[in-house]
Amino acid sequence: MPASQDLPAVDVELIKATKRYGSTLAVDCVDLKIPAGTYCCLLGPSGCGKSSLLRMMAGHEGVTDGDLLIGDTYSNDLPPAGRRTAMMFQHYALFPHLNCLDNVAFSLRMKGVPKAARHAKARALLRLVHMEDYEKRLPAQLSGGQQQRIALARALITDPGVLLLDEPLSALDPFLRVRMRAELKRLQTELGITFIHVTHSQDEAMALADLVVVMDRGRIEQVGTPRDVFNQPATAFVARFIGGHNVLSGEVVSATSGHALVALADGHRIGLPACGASPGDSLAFTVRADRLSLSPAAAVKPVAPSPDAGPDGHGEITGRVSSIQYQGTHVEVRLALPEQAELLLATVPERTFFDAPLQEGDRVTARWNARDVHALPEAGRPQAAEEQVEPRQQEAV
Amino acid sequence: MTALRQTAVTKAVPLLQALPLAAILIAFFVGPVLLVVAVSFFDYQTWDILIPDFILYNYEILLGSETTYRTYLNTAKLCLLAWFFTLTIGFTIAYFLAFHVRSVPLQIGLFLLCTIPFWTSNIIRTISWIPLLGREGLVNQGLMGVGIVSEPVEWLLYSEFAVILGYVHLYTLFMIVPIFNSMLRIDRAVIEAARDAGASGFQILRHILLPLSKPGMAIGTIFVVALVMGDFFTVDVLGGAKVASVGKTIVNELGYLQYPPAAANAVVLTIVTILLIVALMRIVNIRKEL
Repeated sequence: MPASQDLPAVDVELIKATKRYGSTLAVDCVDLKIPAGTYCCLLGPSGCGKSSLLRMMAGHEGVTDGDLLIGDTYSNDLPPAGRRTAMMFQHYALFPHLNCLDNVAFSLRMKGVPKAARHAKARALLRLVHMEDYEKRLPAQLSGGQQQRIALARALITDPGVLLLDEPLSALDPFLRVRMRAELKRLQTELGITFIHVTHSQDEAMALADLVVVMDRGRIEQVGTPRDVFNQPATAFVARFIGGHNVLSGEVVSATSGHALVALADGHRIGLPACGASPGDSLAFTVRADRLSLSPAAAVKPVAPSPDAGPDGHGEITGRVSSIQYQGTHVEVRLALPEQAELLLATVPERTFFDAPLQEGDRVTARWNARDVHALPEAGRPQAAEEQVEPRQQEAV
Repeated sequence: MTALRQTAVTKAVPLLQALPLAAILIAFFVGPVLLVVAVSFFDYQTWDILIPDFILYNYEILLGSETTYRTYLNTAKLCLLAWFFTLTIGFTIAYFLAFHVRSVPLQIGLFLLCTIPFWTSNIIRTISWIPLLGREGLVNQGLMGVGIVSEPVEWLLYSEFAVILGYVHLYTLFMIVPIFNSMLRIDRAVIEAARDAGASGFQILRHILLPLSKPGMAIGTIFVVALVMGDFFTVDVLGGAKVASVGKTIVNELGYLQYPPAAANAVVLTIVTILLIVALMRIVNIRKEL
């Protein structure tokens, strides 16, 4: 990460951080270290505690229990402006009665910086976000994207080491969202400071983050690079939330050092790469939706995977087509499986699909390479996420 | 033919619908005002109190007299003091209700508490100050009983102090309501953003809350200014003979059956009040609040 000299990036560390509102537990004993200069996305559904976590870092919520370190400073009790953080609010929270220039210069005005100096600095920041022509406008006279740029400039004028962004793109229309996404990334790279960005959109997290933190019900489900999280989801929740995965579960019937065999509810057996499970364990695993190939069931001989099939072997499962949705680049086919509540999703490239179109109600066999099956570590084991991440990072190198 | 008649009927319907309100307003508002304006140009004599005419005499006397200006100046002073105290107290109460009371039921409860004085009529509330503030009143008895003063304090009643006290008592709620309303509209995230930018509590008040409550303050100001400018009762009851105001002058003139000068005075007072309100609206854009 490039780190410019006047804006040294700062790392953020939470140690057993907990946030309670009365009897409600919003953040449950979270350990997290975000290295300096990282673009970190806190990802999760609404109510998962990601915003509370961010607001604790910003100092707008107290830390009920645990420690918060920003840089090397113990920051639990510091006021928001006493930390090396600045926050960009969800709906920007621009001061409606001040023009853009005064909005951006606000914190300097609070510090008593003379008008000429604070306006000069504010103009420099307006240039940084390409809003120099709008300094006399009031926030109500700006579009959503422009308001966001002003909010960014206002947050950055304090020279923060960490910029905290609370759902910064959620108020924009989809087209603008993608453009501002690129802008945020550019700014982060240019400034070299730590960005911590709360979002419920996995697309956003994938596109932006160096480090994704997936949260659910106040706990961290997984921490890793976007590729880690996508390829090696730590829990069924992560796999479902990130999307593109089918989560199946069954009972391990045999396990060798090389691989394991799992029986689904209907007795159908599927081979997995070794995962440390022993016979009798119940095991959840994922199958990538984009790695499934579909063919009419009659055309394929039912092949029971032999117990000695290695990681290079194939797996398959047969079901009935329950829905077909055209998506342009690909077609989403959902199969109803015997005795499984969830539908099996296959994303089939457009041409492949239309070379041999399927109809709803067809009996179809989905086949995959055993490499595209990923056993989920037992849910709820906090260390599991880290164990899972390490080997994958080596693989990526 | 039928089609033509139908369009005529369709056009008449909205006019008919507007008619009742228009009739009431014309009969009870526009009519009397025009009448007052007309009477202000009438002549009068001791035994002939209304002589239809068009003379500027009433205005010449009014605007040529030094007493008029002194009375207006005194009314303006009362107005300014009442405005200052109602604004300060009203802003403080609204601020407390909007930002310090966290629970909404308590907020509503306390707000309703502010309206309790309004369950009693203005007249009774004004008169009730007399037994409290008079020479033999509760306050004086108390002060003498405790030994703070040996003689009754004279300026408590029939003084400008008593009039201002009465105004503040009567009209502070007219400040609280619009300011409270303005404050409720302030996005809490904006205050958080100010704190994030390092603003202290006082700086937030000065740079965020005060400017954003301006429309509410302006509306409250219009209420208080209009009420005080037009008041005669409070001045009469609590000010006694010592306090002059335009309203009281008009009432006195009416008492002497000098209708045309009273009408001229009323017209001037209305114009002055309207000008004040127009000036206020120029300073603060209140339309977005309504």
